[in-house]
Amino acid sequence: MNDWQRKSPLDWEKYVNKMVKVAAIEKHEYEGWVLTVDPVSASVVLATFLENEKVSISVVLGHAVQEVEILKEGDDEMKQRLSCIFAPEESKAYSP
Amino acid sequence: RTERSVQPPAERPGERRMAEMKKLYGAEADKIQAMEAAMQLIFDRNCDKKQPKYWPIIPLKL
Amino acid sequence: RFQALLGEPVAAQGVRATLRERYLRGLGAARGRPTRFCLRAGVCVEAVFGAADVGAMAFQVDALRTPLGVQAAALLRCTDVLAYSFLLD
Repeated sequence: MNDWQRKSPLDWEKYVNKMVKVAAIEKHEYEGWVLTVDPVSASVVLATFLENEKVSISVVLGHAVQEVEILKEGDDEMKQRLSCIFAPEESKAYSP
Repeated sequence: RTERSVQPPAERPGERRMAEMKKLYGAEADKIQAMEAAMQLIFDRNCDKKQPKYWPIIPLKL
Repeated sequence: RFQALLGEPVAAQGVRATLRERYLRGLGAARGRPTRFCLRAGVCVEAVFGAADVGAMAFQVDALRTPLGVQAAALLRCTDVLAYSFLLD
């Protein structure tokens, strides 16, 4: 287990809805908006919005994470947008 | 002080797991457990049906 | 692992549940989608995401494109995978 995997849910929660840069082993780097951090594996789920309205999802596995740097905080609109990405179909029907 | 001469009854299957889930997730343990069970079912079913082999054959991380 | 839970604030349970639920939904969203897996040692492969096991040990994938050809169904070890990505539309 690395330091990232040893964090608590309350620590990981601080990264949700933030734009981050994830430094992974073997010199890989990933950037995106944090949708969630899996509390079981500490995997970081990132969303990147592409120009054609599509969303790219990247998952960096917890065991590969070396460091996560917060670049900026998402505003309310971004938070709303992020919360809908994996929303179950029912709640999509009811969201404003 | 009395000694126990009889073993406690064997726990029901899944009881320990449920206790673990409650400790981890509290009130939402049932929902999480259901989601996990659904996902595991798909994985197991896929493995049964497709008999996938590991790739690469030799793990990259030894 | 559960020793660490003893000193936990009560709030951690709800947060853990929210994080886990979102993650599980994310895995659900990946199913059936072409996915790029970055493995150790610079190995990258493309496949169709099939399923992930709950214990985070392996990914079951279909149509895995390896340097030697396409494997109809395969398992990728979580310990070999560094990251993976897919598109949502």
